[in-house]
Amino acid sequence: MKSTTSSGVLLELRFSHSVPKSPDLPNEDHFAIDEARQLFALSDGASISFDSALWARLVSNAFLARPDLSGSWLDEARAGFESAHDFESMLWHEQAAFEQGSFATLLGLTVDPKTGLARFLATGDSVVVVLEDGYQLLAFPYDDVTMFVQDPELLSTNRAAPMPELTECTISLGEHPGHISVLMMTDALAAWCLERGQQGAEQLCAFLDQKNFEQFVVEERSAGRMRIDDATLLVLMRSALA
Amino acid sequence: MPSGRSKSDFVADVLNKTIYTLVTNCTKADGIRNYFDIGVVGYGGQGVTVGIGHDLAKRTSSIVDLANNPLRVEERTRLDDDGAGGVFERRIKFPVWFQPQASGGTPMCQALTEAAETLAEWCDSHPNNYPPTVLHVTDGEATDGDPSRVADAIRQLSTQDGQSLLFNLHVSTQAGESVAFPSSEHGLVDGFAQMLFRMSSSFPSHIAQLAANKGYAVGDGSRGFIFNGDPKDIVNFFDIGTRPRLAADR
Repeated sequence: MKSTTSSGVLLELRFSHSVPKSPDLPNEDHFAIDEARQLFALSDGASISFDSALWARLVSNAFLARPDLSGSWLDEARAGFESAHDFESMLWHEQAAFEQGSFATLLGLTVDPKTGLARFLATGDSVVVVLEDGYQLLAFPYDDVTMFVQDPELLSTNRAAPMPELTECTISLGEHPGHISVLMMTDALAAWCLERGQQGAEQLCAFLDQKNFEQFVVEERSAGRMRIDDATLLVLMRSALA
Repeated sequence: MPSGRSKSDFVADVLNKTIYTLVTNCTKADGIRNYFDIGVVGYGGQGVTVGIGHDLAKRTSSIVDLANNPLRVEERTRLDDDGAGGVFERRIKFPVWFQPQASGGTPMCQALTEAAETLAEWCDSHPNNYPPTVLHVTDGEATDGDPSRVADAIRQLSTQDGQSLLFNLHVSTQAGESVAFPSSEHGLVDGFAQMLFRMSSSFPSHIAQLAANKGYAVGDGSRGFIFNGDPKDIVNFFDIGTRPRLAADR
């Protein structure tokens, strides 16, 4: 029933790219991919953070290292963040910003090629949309554009910060024989997509060229149709089952 | 007042903490983002003084200037949660940029005029920026005339992104009911309160939401005005007034 390649991969990475909010500022989104192990992670660092680009990288890499997010995975990521900075040599405002914390979302996907089960874990407002033959099967953790007005729960480098709730969603891809597309997006792009429904999702599925994607993002921002923020898109696909 | 401090000392602490928060939020691993310019006009028994920090006798200072030039950095202690049901004393650095003036007179008109002139220049030189917000704190009526016209002039200043906002906070050593963000001057205790209400801008929607999130009853037409504010109101006033509508803010 399941369509896998000779290497056992169920979902193939078709497209991945990120466009920073400004050419003068660092991109605070990060994605990490291990296609052979069918692991995909996306993290969006919050703007009001000391070093959100690094934290987003550590969080997404931590998912690849331990996709069940068990044990002390978050403390290990925090230790990585702390060791990357020399606190004692910082100026007063750098110390204050460091201690306030850096924050990021996490959207992780694991796929079991044997069972066809796709499992999504999420905290924050990075979103996945799954389609079969162009029709939406699910949108998670947000399924409506109005949900973006709330303040999302984020993973923090601050050890005193409460642990946000990680929500989970599964879908058995084997029960859907059509052509499967999976879009993983950070919030500005996700809001654009959910606002446009199937038409928006189909447009995103068609991207194959990074320059075209960059041009699209720049145009939508200029026209006021997409919020000005880092925009990241992963497109994964599985062919229709024979 | 907390810890037996005077209201002016408490307000000065809140102002310094507000600047501290703004500097902290703008500080990144690769440098400070100059998201804000800040100006402070003090007025009281010694007249009107302009500028904050060391040698910052400029009408406005950038966040980078403020980060690098506090008057001093004090060592204070704070009680923090130890995560095991108890608290522990923690030493923290508390930078100071503003010191309160002695009370005596209330040259409010002169101070607001100084602010208006500063902001007119700033708006001319920053036409595409988010417009200014003025947070005005007073403990009494003006002793140098009627400040209403100057307040109107401030609210007329604008950039391409919108009109300037003027929010007014009245603090008092007298006990009495406080009124926060009313939609009407009806029911305000006296002519002074009514005048401050008329001097205050209506809340834009994103600021109304911030006030509502803090538990204030905010309705259509609510204005940025608090009369007889208590310590919690003072803290909230500064927090609500210094959160602009950032495009990519979380």
